[in-house]
Amino acid sequence: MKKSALISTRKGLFSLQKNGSGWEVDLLGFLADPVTMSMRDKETGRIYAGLNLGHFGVKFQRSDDNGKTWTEGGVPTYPDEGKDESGKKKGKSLVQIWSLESSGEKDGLWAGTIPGGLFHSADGGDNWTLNETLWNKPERPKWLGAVTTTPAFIPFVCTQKTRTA
Amino acid sequence: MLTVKFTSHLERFLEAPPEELSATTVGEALEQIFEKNPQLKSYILDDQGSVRKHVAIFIDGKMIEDRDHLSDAVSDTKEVFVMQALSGG
Repeated sequence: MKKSALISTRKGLFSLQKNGSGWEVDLLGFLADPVTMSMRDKETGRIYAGLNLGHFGVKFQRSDDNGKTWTEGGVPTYPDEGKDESGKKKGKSLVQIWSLESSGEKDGLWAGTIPGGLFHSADGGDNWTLNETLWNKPERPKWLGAVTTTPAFIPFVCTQKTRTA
Repeated sequence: MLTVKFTSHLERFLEAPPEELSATTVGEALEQIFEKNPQLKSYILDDQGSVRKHVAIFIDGKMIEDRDHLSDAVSDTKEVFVMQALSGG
């Protein structure tokens, strides 16, 4: 199998492919935009990318033609938690897609986010559902944060392969 | 009638042409546009429906006060302008 890798950077998404003794570098998209996470589905070849646009928020994109064209999907959103005494909204807002993993179903995905949520999508990232069991754990607000000042994030998502041929 | 205009920086990501409409609050004005262009909503507002931290909205040149509920009045307004705030990167 040809060795390849996706590289997500603050200025775009790149691919590396082993080419003889060296590596070939290609720009797959989003020149000058921060890409926080990317993943290639090993079964379908589809590429998924999470972006964090400085002004306009977190975006999720997918490509079925190796980066020639991209389609914008939906993003995980956090539940409305009402207001505090001063009238300020208590609900969280997505800061970053931090980790991404295939769930083993066709077009199924898990995303770990900042603030610390685990989200599932069954349709390639158009719709996302928060895993409430994990979200409602009383100790969650005390999880260690890193990189950002937001406490609690999901650093890794590991899945056990359950797909049958 | 008032006109809602969007920063040209948005054109890199999606279409956001100026819109003429009637509304009483800035929230109502934007909601009319988001109904036609749902994708635009997530670029301007966050998960909880508040204005994104690095987006600024001006009513005839004056920045809105209520970024959470967008209740600022626009009944006597000529122009609402949605722009990106200055930030590094």
